[in-house]
Amino acid sequence: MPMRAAGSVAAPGFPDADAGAPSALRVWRRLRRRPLGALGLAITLAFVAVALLAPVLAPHSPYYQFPNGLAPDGAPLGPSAAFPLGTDELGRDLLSRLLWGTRNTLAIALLANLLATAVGTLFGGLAGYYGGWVDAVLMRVTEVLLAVPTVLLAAFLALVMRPSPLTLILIIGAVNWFYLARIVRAEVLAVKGLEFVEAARAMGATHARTLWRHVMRQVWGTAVVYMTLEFSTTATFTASLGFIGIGVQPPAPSWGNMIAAGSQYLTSAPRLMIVPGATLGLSVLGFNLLGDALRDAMEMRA
Amino acid sequence: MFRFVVRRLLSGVGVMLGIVTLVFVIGYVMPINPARAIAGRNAPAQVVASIRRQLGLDRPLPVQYAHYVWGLAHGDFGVNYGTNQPVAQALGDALPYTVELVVAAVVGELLIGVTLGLIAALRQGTAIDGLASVVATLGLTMPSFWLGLILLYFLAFRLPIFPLGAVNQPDWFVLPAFSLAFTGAGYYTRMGRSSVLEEYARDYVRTARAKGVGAGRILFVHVLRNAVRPIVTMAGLDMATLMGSALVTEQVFGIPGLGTLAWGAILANDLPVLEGVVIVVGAVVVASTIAVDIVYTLLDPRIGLSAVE
Repeated sequence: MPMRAAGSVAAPGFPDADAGAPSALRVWRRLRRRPLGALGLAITLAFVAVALLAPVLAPHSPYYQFPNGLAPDGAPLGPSAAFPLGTDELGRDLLSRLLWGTRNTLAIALLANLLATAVGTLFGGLAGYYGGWVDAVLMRVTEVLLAVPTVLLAAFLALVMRPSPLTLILIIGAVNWFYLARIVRAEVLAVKGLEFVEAARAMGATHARTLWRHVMRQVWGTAVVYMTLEFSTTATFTASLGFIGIGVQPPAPSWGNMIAAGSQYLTSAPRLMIVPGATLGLSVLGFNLLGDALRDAMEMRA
Repeated sequence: MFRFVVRRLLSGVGVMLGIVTLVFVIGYVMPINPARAIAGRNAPAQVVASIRRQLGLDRPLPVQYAHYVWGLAHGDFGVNYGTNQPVAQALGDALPYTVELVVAAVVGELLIGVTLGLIAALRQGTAIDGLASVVATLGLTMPSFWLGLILLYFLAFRLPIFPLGAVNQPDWFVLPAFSLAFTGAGYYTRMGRSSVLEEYARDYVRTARAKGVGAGRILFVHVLRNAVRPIVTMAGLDMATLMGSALVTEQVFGIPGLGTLAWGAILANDLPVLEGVVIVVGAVVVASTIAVDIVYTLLDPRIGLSAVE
């Protein structure tokens, strides 16, 4: 991305070719001035660190059922030196499960989010640029898919594909690209009539090159901001699937299935449900603050 | 107006046909043998074959599709694999719970969102504005099903104000609807705040003030009426998401609605039930989108219907 001189202004009446994508440096400078954005970045980085380092950070195995992990009456233990957050309903260390659950949930959410962004940008870009029947099909199909709650679509797909981390990523990615596709399509439509696109075509650039090098360059910013803002939704969505039993399958921990298991002990050990849910909430807060700041810094209205 | 309504209804029918086709196609490629599922694992091959014939699964694909659509048009959603009961019956029993919950949630989230947004805008820059922003962020942060669990713990178990997992009491919907409304209201608070501020900055407000119109009249007759429109649009667009959250939240409170039906059907591999839920939920979303579009045109004095047609 070429660096533009600070304060350069596009001539009036001529759309600024770089308007959609301020330089990374400028974005970073603006981002630094926002305390809430910095907080969001810090929380996000902390979660990334936990996800990466879960195997090192976890004091115990997330699967091991400690013989002394349950009270004589079978109730989970409260926090202690050996088990900082206590034990779960099967006598496993809750902290270790939480750390591994964070890793499992965020890894799936991140990959699914990347997949959805790639598919949405690709389809939206093609439909917007080529128009015609490609566009008509995309608009009709997404209109239909947007009328069905994504969680229900995912459940439907989960009947076809037996749950595994890979199918889960495919399913979550497959049901979350429609909205972005429509946004990207609208942006491409707005850009493709501009002079620099016409100029590229006139200079003999192929459609593929024009779309990739000239049109899509204006759209990456939107896609990145959308992806950041959407990541928290994807993480919550992943947890929702876990909660209704079609996400990460036990005994592997995830935020969703930990909340589901904990909800069975709502009255006796609410901690089992509160801890993973609060962790999810904190991560969503961090991702959202970062996404909002990024959107503002990139001057987007998305 | 009449032609506009007819056009919206026709496009709604188009979307419904799309959903039905989608459901049919996914159901067709599904690695589940329905005849085998009904007959049971150890049934002899002849029985499976006869059920297959009975269900019409031996006929060509287009005929099956036509038969399926024709059945749906007559309220025939097939039979439940497990119980052999008509799926339409189960859907009919579950639908009222989900609809009551969702209606209460929409009303709740709009009330909370618009009220908080309005207060924040009127007290822009004060501590009250900041508090409204914190509440909105809190709502956006929590998943509704988790808030439901928290409310259940504190307001049904610790302080037994609301019923703990019982739908036979008239106030069963309060906690689940509030979980959905509070988590959904965040967007509307932010939107309401910015659109009220935007409207106040417009020329017509200045004109009204110059004419000596009272502050209350400006707010309720002019500003609010215009500020609410983008929120109504958003609520329409957001219907599918809210339905999705409601279906998950049902699980928390043990509400025998469409969500509980669907999640049970997944565990039982019960395809017709899940198909039925997708179609019925899709129909509710499409119907409410159309209703929002019509309300929207009524709300907006600038949309002349001749222009829409």
